[in-house]
Amino acid sequence: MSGDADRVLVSERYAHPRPPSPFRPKQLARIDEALSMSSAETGLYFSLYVGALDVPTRGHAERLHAELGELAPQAVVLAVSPGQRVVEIVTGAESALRVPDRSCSLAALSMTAAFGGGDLTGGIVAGLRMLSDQAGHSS
Amino acid sequence: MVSGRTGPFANLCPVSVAQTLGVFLGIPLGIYAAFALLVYLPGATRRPRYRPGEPWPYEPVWYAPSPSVLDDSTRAIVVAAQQHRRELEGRSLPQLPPGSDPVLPAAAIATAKGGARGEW
Repeated sequence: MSGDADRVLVSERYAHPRPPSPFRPKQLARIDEALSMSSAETGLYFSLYVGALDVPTRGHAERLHAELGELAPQAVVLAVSPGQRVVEIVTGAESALRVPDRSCSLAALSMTAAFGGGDLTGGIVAGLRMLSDQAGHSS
Repeated sequence: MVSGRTGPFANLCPVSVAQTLGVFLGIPLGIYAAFALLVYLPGATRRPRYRPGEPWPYEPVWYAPSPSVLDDSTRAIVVAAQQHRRELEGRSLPQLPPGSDPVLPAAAIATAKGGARGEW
């Protein structure tokens, strides 16, 4: 056993050639279409974050929104954390007028209903559709 | 007559052990293997489905709409931001926790005006 002490293990960091995406290509296409269509129809800037959020999750989601800089007033950030089972919707100065908090709550409700059933893509698409329907067409 | 036998088995040709094994062992095993492949191959290549309550092992991702669908003023901002990001890429920035922006001071966070929260 003592002979093992001078044995040196040389391990290299294994870089994954392409980090696995949580979504299949078909699901990604649906999400991309929903994001682009809702942004194009409303003139707002919808963006979707999927991943762990720092606690408090609201603060992290608002930081993400602030990171959009000049886009922030018209931006709507959907932050989904499947690990923490939390979804945060953040609106900016202009987008809050187009999408009131009541509508955001309704969209969040429909999203969580789908997420609870394990359907992440369906919930995201449904939420985006509800938010963009509420915002209406850009003048 | 193939062999010199007589009686009721006279017309049968002799079969080697290898042939017997091939027919009675090889073919059934082959069928089993084919079905096993059909059953397990689609599941092995598929990503595991998300189930509520399980940890989320993936890196955070942030999806944005395609710039081509945005109106002109919004696209101009996006293009400018992408250019800014590309300029930053060459420089070495300190490693920061995800979600924080080195360009943005903490006090400037006041862009959020509303929204909602949901849990499941």
